[in-house]
Amino acid sequence: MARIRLLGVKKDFGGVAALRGIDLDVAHGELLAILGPSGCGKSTTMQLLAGFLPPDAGEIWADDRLISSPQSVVPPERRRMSLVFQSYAVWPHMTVFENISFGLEMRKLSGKEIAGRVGQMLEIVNLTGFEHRYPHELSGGQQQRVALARALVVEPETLLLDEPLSNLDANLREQMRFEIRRIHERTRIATIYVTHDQAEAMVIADRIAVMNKGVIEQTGKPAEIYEQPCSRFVASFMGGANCLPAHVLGPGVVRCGDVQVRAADPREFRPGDEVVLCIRPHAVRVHRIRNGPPRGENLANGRLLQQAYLGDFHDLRIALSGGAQIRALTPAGPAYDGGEEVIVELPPNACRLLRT
Amino acid sequence: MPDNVSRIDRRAFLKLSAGALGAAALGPGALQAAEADEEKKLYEAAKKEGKVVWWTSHYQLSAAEAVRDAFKAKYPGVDVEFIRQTAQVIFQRLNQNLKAGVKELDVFASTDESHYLKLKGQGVLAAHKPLGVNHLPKQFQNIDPDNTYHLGALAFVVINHHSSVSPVPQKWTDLHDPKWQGQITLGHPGFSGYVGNWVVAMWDKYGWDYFTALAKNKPKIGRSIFDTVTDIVGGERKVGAGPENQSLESKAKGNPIDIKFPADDAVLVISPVGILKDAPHPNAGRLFESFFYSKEYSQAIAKTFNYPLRSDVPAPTGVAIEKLKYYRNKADRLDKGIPEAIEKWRETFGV
Amino acid sequence: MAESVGSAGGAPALPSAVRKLDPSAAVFGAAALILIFLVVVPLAWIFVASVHSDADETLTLSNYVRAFSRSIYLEPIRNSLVLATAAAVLATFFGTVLSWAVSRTDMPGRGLIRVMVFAAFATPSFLGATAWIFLAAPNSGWLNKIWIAISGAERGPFNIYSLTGAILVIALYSFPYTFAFASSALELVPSDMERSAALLGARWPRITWRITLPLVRPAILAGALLSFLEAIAEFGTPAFLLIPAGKQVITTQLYLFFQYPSRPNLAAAYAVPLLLVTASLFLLQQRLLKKGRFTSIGGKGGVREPFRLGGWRWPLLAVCLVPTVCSLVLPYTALLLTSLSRAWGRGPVPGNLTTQWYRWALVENAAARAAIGHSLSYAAAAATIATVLALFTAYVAQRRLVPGSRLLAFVAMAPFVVPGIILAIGFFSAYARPPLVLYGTAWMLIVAFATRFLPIAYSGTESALRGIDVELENAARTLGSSTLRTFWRITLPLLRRSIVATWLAAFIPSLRELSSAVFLFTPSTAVITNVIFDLSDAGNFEPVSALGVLMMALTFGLIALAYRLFGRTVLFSRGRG
Repeated sequence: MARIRLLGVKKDFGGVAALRGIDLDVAHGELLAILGPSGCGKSTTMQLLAGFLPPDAGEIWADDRLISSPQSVVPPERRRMSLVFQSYAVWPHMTVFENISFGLEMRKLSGKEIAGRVGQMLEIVNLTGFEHRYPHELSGGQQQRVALARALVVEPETLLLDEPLSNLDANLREQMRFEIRRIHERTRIATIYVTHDQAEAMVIADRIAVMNKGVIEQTGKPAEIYEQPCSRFVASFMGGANCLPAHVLGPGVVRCGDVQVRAADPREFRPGDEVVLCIRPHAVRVHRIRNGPPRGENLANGRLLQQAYLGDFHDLRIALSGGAQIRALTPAGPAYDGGEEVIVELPPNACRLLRT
Repeated sequence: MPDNVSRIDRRAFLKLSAGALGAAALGPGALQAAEADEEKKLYEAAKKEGKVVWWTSHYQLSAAEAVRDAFKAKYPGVDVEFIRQTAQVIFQRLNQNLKAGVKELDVFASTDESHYLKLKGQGVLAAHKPLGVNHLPKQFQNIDPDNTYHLGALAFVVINHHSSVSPVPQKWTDLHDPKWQGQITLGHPGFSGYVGNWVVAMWDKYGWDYFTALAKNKPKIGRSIFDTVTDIVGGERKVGAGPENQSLESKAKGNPIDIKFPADDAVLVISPVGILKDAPHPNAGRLFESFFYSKEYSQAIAKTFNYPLRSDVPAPTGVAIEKLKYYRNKADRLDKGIPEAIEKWRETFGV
Repeated sequence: MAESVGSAGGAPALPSAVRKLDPSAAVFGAAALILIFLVVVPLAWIFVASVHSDADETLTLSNYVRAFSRSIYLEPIRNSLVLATAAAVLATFFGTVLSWAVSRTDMPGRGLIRVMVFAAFATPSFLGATAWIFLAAPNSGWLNKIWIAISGAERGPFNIYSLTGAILVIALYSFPYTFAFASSALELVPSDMERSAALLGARWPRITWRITLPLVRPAILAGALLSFLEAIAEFGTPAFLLIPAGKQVITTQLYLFFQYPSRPNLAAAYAVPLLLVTASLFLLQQRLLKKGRFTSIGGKGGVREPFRLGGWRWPLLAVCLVPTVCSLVLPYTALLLTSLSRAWGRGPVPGNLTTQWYRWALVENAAARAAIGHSLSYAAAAATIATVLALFTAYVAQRRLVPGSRLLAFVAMAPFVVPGIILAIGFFSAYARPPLVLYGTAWMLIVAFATRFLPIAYSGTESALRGIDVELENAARTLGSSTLRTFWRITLPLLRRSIVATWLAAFIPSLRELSSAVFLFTPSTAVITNVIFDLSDAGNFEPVSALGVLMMALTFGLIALAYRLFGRTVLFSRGRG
């Protein structure tokens, strides 16, 4: 049985639909990331999960308990979920120790037990020795760790993390990602992690749910989502993709501009359909004419519009003869000439056909 | 509590009358002995009550303080909590309290005689003949045949003027002279009982035209009769209708103020005193009211230039009250007259 | 599906209306009910009383007919409107100029001016009126005498017993409100806006007139409306200055309606239209303030460079000193000198000096001593009640804990529009009769003060609450803390400084309150303002001055103590904390 389950959850704000029917499962011990751009509804989902808002339709279940429905909502203090906020929400008038022990006070533990658990948690988040500091004496990263410790010490059944790293600078963010993953593996609490950063989701999550405009477009393991995006949005959100309009000629064969392209996975499209051909920039192969005619399928003529030298590779923008533009990342090598004529190869295995 | 009060009330009354009758049968010496006995009993009971609450508009603040000090000196152990405010204000407060059932006042001392007609009509005054009331001058002894109130003070409204003024106005009508424009100060009948008495007197003597003419001189309108004294002493105005007591007191301190008994009559202010039926300290109240007729009281108020109530204490000006020419309003005239006067005053003077 | 399913180990869900409160509902609900009771009951009584006749309590509209058909009752309305409008305009002018000078320029003495403005706020205007009588009575006023001595004229130019005099005095003691409004708005204006204008070549006069002031216009107007409301509700100053001038205003007329034979129902009818006017003005003010928030965006304001005024600094200081000197220096000097005189008419000359009045006030006059004690204790009790109620109900309203929370906010602010004397009438009608008789007890005044100053406490608390991130509270709730516990452990400690400032903001006006106290007190519950008012006729200027000086010394002493303990927030400035 899933730890957390959302069934057809909808939420409106004054006529604007924030969530338009969300279905989601989180298994025990799993870390699920909800990934999406700002305004897609992920924060609203968090608010509903935590019990601060009621859904307008649908249900939320925790194990076999119905905890949210349009008629009734179990209040936050009884859902056994902890929430870590983007702003840390660490209480400025309490020490680190007091912040962390707050949740334990209500569980009627003895002073000794509380001190013990707090000490343990501080050790897990690497803040031993900071018990008597006040938040304003801590850095952003340290405050976030206090927030995490505070959330974990009460041994919640579910942990909710709402863009917890957005306020940190880039280096710290990368570091903290691994910390969070490590802590999760140690505590194995079902966790829902909201972020807009695709790289972060990929590092941290067991599974990712990609969200856009109030619906979940795709759920799956990071590799699945990256390699087999099921929609244009998911494809371009997860790491950038070239998406070229194309016309289906036959199973797996499309006309893209003035080039005929075969895609390895035909999916269910029928001739005459208008589709989108997606290929990752790093999968596009660029052949220089001076090296002679290339071998391979799906070849097209192109002209170099722009190039950027990035050390490990070139970032090229190429205009195809049919008019479309394509972006390619090619391995390090001699520089290209501006306006050079090239031949672009789109390997069939890297081509994905998606609905428009 | 209320039952208790009326019981003591009646008992004391009967006792007193019986005692008085009995003593009358035995002669004046016996009467005095009976009174002293009553006084002692009253004092003992008052000490148990601890204090008396007294609201007065009879005289200026210094006189009220002198009365308090004299009473406390004679009857140690009984405190005096008093307020000195203008007559209409204390009357309004009393009525407000009565309406709400708040019982905090023992002795009510107003300068508007008609207040007592109204209060008696409401049945809130206690009938009681205080000790020593027979020391009063005969013409003031029985202002209420039912003994619900008795005389507490006597005062006059006279012409007040700055000592630099010459010639001094001789009559009330002299105040109409245009030379006094912007130089007159008055109280307000809506606040002061003294002024109420004076206004009704002038109205009855000269008709309301007296005031429409006076208004042309743009007098400064205050609240209390004693505002007149302040204005003249301070040099704010030169003449006015003012009291006698505080003006003479001020003059004695060296201030540039003086009074004139007008040829067309000073106005007498009869200031009764009465005890409330539901007084929280009934015995202290009776003791205090009786104190009014003692020598110490008359001496105290005479020191502050008020007329003594006893003939065996000399008047502060040296002229006994019986020798003075004055105008006295009837109580039932004041009853209707003052409220009407307040209305007309508003129309004439704007406030 | 209306089922709320429980299961082993889970608690059943509550119906949605109370889902957020659990047992906290009782506490918050109780606070809301008390608030509604305090505010609605007296106001309802006013309306009820106005349609019953005074003579026999029958239902009638005759009170309204009488109140508005006689010219002697209409005159005061005209006078009040003139008085309040002129005072508001003047107060706005002073408040705006001073707040601009203090917040946006490098004028010298800014800190001093700020302190003086606060001192003017703490001074009751009727005390100022009394002092101005000493200074500017047409024949005996000291300023007039000095003028005559210097210029040899026959008469001095000042006559405080006039509408002009009353307007000036009221403006002098209500400009701190406009100052506060304008100040806080000016401090929020992002300086980038002014810098852009400067870069385009504008100098400070143009920038101020075309950029800064228009940006804070809503706040200035809101402050002006507040001054108007204060001025129209004034009782003490018109009683002292306008009665001698032969002019009545609405508040003094209401007082007259209570003279024997008292006509409280007629008074209520007379008061109702004024209530409607003040209510609509208040709604207008609130709307202006809401608009204001969108225009001055940057909540933090940013670092601001004050304007360098060059040679204009000193003339500006002179202008700023005019209202402060006139509201503080001159009056307090007059009060002090009078309180030390044997007879004020003789002036402050040797031979006329004495400390007897202070002895009288503190030692001999038991009533005055008791009144001082009453003032302090009632004001403290009222401020505490108002603060506690404000805290709970502002929390309920802001966090929308019950449906209809906005209505609660409205009720909390309602007493603001009710002039003190009218509120007193309502209280008297409500609580001077069974079943709940508070009249005659200390609670009458305490409840009246608490209700009268609840809006101040409420708006202070509301804006403080807005500054607290709701996530801090949500974090606690997810850890298992109930609404009430979260309020107690998280919200309140974070509000500590504001709570003190709010308490003071209710305490100080309670200390100097006259217009509602003048009806509701009985001699055994009198406060210091009652005693001063009572003494002020019959020419007792010297004891009145001594009592006034004592009262203000007490007030300023307490403020200084608060400043010591709690810092700059008490002085209207944003400061630290």
